[in-house]
Amino acid sequence: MNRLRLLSVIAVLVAVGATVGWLSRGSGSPSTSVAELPRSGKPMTLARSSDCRPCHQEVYDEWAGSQHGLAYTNPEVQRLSKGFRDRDCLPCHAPRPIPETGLGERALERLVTLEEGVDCFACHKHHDTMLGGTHIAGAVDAPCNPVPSAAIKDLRTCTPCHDQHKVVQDWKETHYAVPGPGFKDCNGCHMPEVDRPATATLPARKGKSHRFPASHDLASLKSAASMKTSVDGRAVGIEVRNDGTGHNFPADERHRAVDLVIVAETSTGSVVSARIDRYRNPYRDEFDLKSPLRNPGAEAEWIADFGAAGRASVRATRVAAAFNPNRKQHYAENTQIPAGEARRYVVVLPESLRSVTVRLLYKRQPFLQDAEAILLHESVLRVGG
Amino acid sequence: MKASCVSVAKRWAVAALLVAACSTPPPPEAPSPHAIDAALLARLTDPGVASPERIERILAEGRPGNVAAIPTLRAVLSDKSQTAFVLVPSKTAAWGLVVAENPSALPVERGPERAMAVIALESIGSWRALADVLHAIDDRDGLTAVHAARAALRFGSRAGIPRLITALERKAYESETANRMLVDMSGVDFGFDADIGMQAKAEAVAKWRAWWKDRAKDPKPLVGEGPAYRMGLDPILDERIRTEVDIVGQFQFLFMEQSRRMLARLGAAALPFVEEGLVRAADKPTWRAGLAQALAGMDLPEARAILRRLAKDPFPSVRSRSVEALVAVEGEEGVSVFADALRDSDPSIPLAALRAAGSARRNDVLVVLEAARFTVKELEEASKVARFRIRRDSRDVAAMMEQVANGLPGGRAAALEALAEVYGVVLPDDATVDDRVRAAFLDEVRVRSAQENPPPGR
Repeated sequence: MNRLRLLSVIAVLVAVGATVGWLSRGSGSPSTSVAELPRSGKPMTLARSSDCRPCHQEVYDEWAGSQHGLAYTNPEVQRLSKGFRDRDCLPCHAPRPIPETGLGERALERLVTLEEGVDCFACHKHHDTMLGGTHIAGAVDAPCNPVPSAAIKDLRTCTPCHDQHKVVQDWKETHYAVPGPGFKDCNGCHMPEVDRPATATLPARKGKSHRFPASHDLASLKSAASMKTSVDGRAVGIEVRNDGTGHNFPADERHRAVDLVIVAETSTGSVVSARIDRYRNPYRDEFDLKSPLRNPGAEAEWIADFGAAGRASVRATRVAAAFNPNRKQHYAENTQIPAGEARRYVVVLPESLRSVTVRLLYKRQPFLQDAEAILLHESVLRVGG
Repeated sequence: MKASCVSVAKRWAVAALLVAACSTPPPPEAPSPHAIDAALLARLTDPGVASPERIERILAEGRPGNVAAIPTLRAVLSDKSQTAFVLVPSKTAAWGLVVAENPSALPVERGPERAMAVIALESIGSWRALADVLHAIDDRDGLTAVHAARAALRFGSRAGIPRLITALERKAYESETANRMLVDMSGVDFGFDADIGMQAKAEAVAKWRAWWKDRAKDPKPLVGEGPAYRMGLDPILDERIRTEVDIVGQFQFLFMEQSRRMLARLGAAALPFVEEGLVRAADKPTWRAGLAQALAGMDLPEARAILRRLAKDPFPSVRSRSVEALVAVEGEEGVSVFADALRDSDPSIPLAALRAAGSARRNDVLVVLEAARFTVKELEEASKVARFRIRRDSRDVAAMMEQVANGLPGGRAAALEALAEVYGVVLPDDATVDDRVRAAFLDEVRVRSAQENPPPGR
């Protein structure tokens, strides 16, 4: 009996702790002053990520092919930044060490080794020291002067760049941010565990992948949202649900867009298409864009134009998330799908359409044509009985 | 029994008095001077009346001394194109205001009403609206922007005059208004008219540009130019400016950029606030770097004095931004800053100095540049680009072409930019990544360089 009572008390305390932790999520982690981070007191001469390669070949290879490694040279980024003539892009695409700028503070730019993008130093370097996990405590002779530090796992290492568009704020509204067994932060999904040697002289062991799988990783991208379809006469039912991420879908950049499209064949054999909806956080200068589904539970109707083949009526519903349904929405016109939420549609197609294909298309920037997009999900349906 | 009843009644009376005393509402607190009057805002933006009626209501608030209406008129004026943020009164905030995303809750198509809000703010005649009109110079609505430029002049700031000259090249309603304002404030007329034809208009605009190049240096007030603001003249505006100094060190880069620009426009009046901010930013390099950028936007010796200090900041990005601003300024000081920067142990600082020297075409740094030896490849490439931009010697073109072909990514981009600048060829956005686009651009450069040897001093 006493044991039962004790367990009950512990359970209550854990629940209270979790609730308090969750409720206080808006205030972020306690401030870690730059001055509190460790230093080695020994000179460190490493200047480029390639200097890390001799000891950390496998980690280096993961990073070099990641979007962090390609942050400056990525052709899409080069185009959108006009070859980085737009200099405001540099602080996040070629940042100085975040532990030096300050965890959670806006990043600052470096002007050299640009081709290394978000380099090893961006997350690990603190003056004469490279910050790492607890396993590096024994590596006293390494030229990078490694020091174990909790800072390397702190999500405020990510926020300087990845919270510019409130990704971390959106995550804080989800169940993934609740302390406990279901807790997952940035690293939980974007630095999955891998078995490989961290250095050339050590055996393989569990470490964190430096590939940073996200929207450039097809498997991650496809798992971000699901799509279900159904047919009832000429009415096509569609549900798109963000059931694979801990943040809005699509996330982060305002460039990202996901389009729900219906491609259809007409009775005369021609192929027509129309966009049913677009999920995206608009640029601030897109003054005319309006979100028809501002609040969970909202419903709206509009027309999808198939040109000469006719027009379809669309009835859309914003389905609230089961967890914390009334989330803080930072941008009024944002049509991204928050984690756990769904969009349901009933699309009544014109008589002339026969076979239809419903597609969920991911676009790295909103100006891309459908043919240039990445296909996430597709469903072929026969309409009209 | 009777006594007992009296006693009970007394006790109830005392209790009732106590309850009454406790439930008496406290005296009402004075509203924040930054607070919007919700009822007034509803009247000024009432969708139930036609726009001319809303405009009449807005203009009616423009009574001299009606400072209480300023926060509400600010809400009418607010637009994401000039302020992506709004400032919300807060008792706990250091300066009484916190930053929030501009919700754009009001209809966005209200340009004429925003312009009238500026006129009303100008008519109230208080410096308290100075920060608002300085932001509104960037409004996407041309009429709002030109009215903001004139209002700024009334409040002692000339920061909007370049915007008025730019407006001459825009649509008639904007250009005619801007021309009238320029004629009124200058007392001169260069014959600009929206209907006089492209050539004559371009000539008139060129004359206005030439006029401003000289007149900007003359401290004699323009017609309608009010006295400049100084810290302490309006404690409410001081709180607002301090908040914007803080925004420069906060997180959202568009907010930072808009506040930086407002502070740069505020010019000398902003300097004591920036100095205060630098003290608060002692352990925040991002904030100091942002303030350095705001100072770089001021063409003032006092701002350069602060930048000289920041050029020795322990954090490299603060140094590089300060050095870049100082090297761009004519005079002996720029040369010595350039020479010091080349010796900095962090390669970003000499790189910023080389970029600024090239951009400003500083012939006077060439001696220092020729004597310098660079061991870092980025610096070697940056020095070649700087030399080419300064000397514009066609013998350097081959080196630039070689750098485009085989340089580091940053060096390639810099060489492309230099060739575009020197030969006046438009550099396509994707020139760094699209081989065909880049080849076409370089072909055009080759044609021009063959025709013009040495290249012209564009």
